[in-house]
Amino acid sequence: MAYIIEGIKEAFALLLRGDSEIYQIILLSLLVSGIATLLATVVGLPLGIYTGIRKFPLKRLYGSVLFTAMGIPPVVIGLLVTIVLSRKGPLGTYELLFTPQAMVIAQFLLVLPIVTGILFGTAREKGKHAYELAKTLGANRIECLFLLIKELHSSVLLAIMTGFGRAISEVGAVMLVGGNIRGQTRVMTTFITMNNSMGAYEKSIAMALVLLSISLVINGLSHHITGGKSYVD
Amino acid sequence: MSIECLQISKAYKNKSLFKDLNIAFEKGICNCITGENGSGKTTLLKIVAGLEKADFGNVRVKGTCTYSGSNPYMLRGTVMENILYPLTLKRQGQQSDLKKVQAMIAQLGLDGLEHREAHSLSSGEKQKVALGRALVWNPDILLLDEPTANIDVETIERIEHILLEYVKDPEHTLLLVSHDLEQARRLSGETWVLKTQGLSKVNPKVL
Repeated sequence: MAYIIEGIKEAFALLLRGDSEIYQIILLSLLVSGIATLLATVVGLPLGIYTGIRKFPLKRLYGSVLFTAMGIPPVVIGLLVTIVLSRKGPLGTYELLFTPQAMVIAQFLLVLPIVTGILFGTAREKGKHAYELAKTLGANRIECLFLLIKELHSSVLLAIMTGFGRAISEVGAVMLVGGNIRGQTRVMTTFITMNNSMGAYEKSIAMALVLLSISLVINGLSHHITGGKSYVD
Repeated sequence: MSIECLQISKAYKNKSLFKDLNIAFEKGICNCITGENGSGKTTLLKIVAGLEKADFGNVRVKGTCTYSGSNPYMLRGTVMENILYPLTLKRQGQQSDLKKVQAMIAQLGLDGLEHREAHSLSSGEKQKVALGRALVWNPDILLLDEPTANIDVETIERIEHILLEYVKDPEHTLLLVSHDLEQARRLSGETWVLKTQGLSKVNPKVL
């Protein structure tokens, strides 16, 4: 028990000392997960809303596949991206493996089904009436999309928050495609895993506290935005 | 003719609603469609509005067209924002838009409710907001499904007056679904009864 308390004390000391490595890792984590979430939102938001409101063959199957993909293990995504980006892989010539770009690609693939799935589910339930109204009042496709974003804004924000929360807290994908290289691809989760295996608990606890704070802020915002409801409601 | 239905057919779960329907609706009058529950009146209106597809056949619509259903959807925001929405799409002048909206609110008897959240209104008030939203941008064709279903008698008269004013313009076409045969008599230039065999024109006075 004593070493846990000692670890927490040292963690605060480490954070207050302004250790540059710690802050560089936090910054890289926020950047990689932020860019991945932004890209996934740009693609997933119109895709989720459009497929949610439209009727098309095999829509139920599409929904099932999408909802399954929302829970895909990060390590599986990491493995797929590693295979594709490795030297012998189809995109090996770009030499992206073990770079922050590869981490963005992996997290983009992880977050995309989450953003798309949440908005698909909401648009399917609630978006049809708003879409029909906009259409019958003479709105074009872009105007319909903007109206739907406005009408479903709490779900849109929830999808983004959930996607970012998933990206920032995952370890499997970034470990495989980033390689946890000091000063280049080391992020909060891989830092915690590494220090834990080395027995450097104070560093692990310090970073865990930061990660926990970020998760709490994201959860708090999601809760506030949706008025305490989950997207299923 | 501003609306022409050419050989349209529609079925739901193997039940034929209407088959090979050929009909043209006149401009400058109120065309009222009546019929039994489940006869396909709302479906026909939605096909004309482009919200549903016919299984077979074509619909030709000339001019701008808007549809308002019997259980209208309210956008997030106030009554004023709801009625203003179609004008923001047309990018008309902000000042004149507000005047139009205020005039529409007064016409429909919605004074005092301008700043109320549209979601919190009663179903009758929602019907009036939906009608205002449909009329404010002055479309060529107005498709209304039971527009006075949840509205008190006094307001029904007010709405019928607005609709009669609307069809005074020879370029306007009103297509209305109503169960209220008295309303069909009061409003109708043409009244149609929808059956599986097709639409038949009737004299509302003998209904």
